[in-house]
Amino acid sequence: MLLYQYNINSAERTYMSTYNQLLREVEKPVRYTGGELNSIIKNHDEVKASFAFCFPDVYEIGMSHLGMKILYHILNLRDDTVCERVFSPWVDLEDKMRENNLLLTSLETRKQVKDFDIVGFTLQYEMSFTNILNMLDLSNIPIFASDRLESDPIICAGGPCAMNPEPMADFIDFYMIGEGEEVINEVMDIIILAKEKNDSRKQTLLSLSKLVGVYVPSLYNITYNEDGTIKEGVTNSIEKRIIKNFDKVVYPDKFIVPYMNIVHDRVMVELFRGCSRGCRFCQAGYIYRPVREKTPETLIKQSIDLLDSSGYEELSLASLSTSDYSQFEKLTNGLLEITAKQQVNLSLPSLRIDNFTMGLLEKAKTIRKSGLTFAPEAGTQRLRDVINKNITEEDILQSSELAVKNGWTRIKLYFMLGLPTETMEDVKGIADVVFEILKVYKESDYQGKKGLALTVSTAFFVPKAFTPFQWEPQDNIKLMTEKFTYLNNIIGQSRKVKYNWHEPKVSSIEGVIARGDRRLGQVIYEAFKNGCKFDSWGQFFDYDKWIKAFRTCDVNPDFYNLRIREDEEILPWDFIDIGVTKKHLLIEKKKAYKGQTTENCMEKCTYCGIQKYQEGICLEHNKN
Amino acid sequence: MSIIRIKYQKGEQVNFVSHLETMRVFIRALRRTHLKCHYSMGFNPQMHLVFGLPLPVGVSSLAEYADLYFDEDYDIREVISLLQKEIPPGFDVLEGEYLFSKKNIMSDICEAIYEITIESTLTCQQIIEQVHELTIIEIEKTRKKKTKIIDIKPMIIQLSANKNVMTLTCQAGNFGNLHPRIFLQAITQYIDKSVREVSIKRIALFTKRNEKLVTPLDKLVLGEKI
Repeated sequence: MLLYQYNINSAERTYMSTYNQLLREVEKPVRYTGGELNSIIKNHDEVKASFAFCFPDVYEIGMSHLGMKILYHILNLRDDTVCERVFSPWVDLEDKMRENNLLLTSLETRKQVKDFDIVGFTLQYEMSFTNILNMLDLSNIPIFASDRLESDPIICAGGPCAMNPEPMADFIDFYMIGEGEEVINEVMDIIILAKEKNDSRKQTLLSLSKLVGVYVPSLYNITYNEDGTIKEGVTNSIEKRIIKNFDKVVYPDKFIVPYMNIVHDRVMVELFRGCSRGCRFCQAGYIYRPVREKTPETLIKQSIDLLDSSGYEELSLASLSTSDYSQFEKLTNGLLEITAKQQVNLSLPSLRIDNFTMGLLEKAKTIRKSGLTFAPEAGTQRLRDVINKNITEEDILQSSELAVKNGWTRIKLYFMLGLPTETMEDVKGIADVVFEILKVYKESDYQGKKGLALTVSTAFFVPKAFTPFQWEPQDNIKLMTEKFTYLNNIIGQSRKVKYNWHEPKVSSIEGVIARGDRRLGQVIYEAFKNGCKFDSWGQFFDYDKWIKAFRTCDVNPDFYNLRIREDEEILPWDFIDIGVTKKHLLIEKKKAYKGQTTENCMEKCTYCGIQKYQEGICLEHNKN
Repeated sequence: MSIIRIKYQKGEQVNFVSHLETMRVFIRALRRTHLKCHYSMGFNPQMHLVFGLPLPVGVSSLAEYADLYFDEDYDIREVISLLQKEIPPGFDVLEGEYLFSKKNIMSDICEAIYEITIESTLTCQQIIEQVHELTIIEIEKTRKKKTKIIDIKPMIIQLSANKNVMTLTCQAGNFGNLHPRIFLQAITQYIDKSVREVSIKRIALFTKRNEKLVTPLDKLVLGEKI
């Protein structure tokens, strides 16, 4: 049944035929077959090291992840390395695998994950952590790092949640902190050398720890005060990795084209990393600084190469704030030439409301219209100033009017509930904004046939590490429930509005883990033992099982999410240097409480600390 | 504008790719060839192509057909060669002919041949003998909360066996379609409870012209240039 048959023995053949038979009995078997266009198959006997890249969720979620595509490409460019993909099997296949004693395998050559040299996980969201433990379990790899033997693979992790690596520290042998494109090659060089020298795990991890951006949790011991706060944390400073000369960084010229519908089924190009706006709740804006852009020439070439090698019908421009890209006109003009010729849809997510201009609109008009998404985040100007989301009500209404007048009838609005200093006035403010927009629609001279489809979505604020709000308490579940119920009673009842809210209990557990320390490792393990997995899926999340896990481990979740942290407290992630200083975050916090805004660092340097990298827009400032 | 009807194969390796997903495979492969494919007009242009009888998930095929619409006149061999180069492993584009007839391939199909490999207690020969002895074979078909009882016996045109492989020739298409798994379901229900599907392969599709069975690439089906 496979095209490639390298040294397959009879045991493996039986295994595969059992596995293939099981695929007939599960949903969407094409999740597990591999063989997609542009997937890379290498002979493991012809390489020096193997890397299993694991995304801890199901195929259609993981295949949408750009980071995996980039690192898969980079690793496979090496002649001495093979990288294969692994995703969580869906629950139906998992049950059958456990019944039949079948271990987790990679997609490309169905090799057992435990036979790879390195198994890497990407930490994209806290609710995927139990899936990581489940994948280790399904691979027969000891879940706790301290239990692993010389014959076990080395387990690593990266991604945005690695910025607080402590909750998963018990399970991960080493972390790559920051951007992975360069450090992953340095890691492979060390792994290959260590293999040749027959180094022990301990020796190998020690060698890896010398790399900039690599954090080996087992080298450190954390001690705690009486009151539960950290007495002594990690005693080293781990500097995040960033790519200098971002325009020239390696980027795939081919994407794997899946057979099934995945969440983001299109070509993606990265316009820039980082964000200059400094919205105070946004972790990504801080951890990916300094802002570094690619040139329009590079982006156009990458788009052409990827469209040619995939045949995709849609091209998406990815960044934290697409309309802030400094050469937006030039880029979109160049791209529209191509997309018009090739019948490709251009998707522009992450637009800001305050520069949604006529010019942009004219551009977008020639493209097939999907919906428009805006994120005001807060309902009143007061609260928007607190979070430094520098948009006014005028911006919101003007953009909506522009959109509606030009035929955009599907508009999505994102807000958060539970932001610091929020009162019920602010919550009501969200409803006021929504009704203002409905009024704009009613009073506009839009002649079209389609009615306005307004979707409002509220998430519950989860304070994240490395933001000015990292000391803030989260709303408790009761308050969260009060707030969304209140909103639902006002706007959810309107036929013209669809109101979606996040589940408070999920946000609460997220809030605990996001700013957790090493003591949460035991809790996550207990939760997994209790049967928690696919926690980000509504049908599986079980709050009671999580609370039971906290009780079993005698850990109080409120300590992590409901408590106000003191300015001088040692935070579990303090040892990581992201460039932006703690001092800057504290200044921003104080300004937030005074309702003072901070300007966009493209206009005026805010001295956040990132200038030390001498990269990206910081350099632009120095030129002036 | 020209229409080319192609014949392609769907191997076991891409068994689980559904019919709709297969259509997308071809659409994207065609886009990669940069041939001038015909798109529908309007707000959301779609590439125009028509596929023959849908193949169920998990079934491979030696003979599938699709009609490709182009805005320009192309040499058939060029199209086949470019498409074969772009199509992912597991799929094979074998041949093609110009299509002049306006008859829609979907509504044209009337017969199909399946090779069904099974595990069972009885031998395939024994199973077939029992099928022949039954005068009616009734199956419940539920669609959108309505259940119908259908007699599938008249849809079975021919049956033969070779070890654990049954070859089934049956009605197919819009005017009576026997799904191979419904056939297996009937056998499990009436003849041998232990029957399990190992693999199914569609080996041919036919239409009728002048009372004769012909393939969709037959000259009588393709029509003539006006």
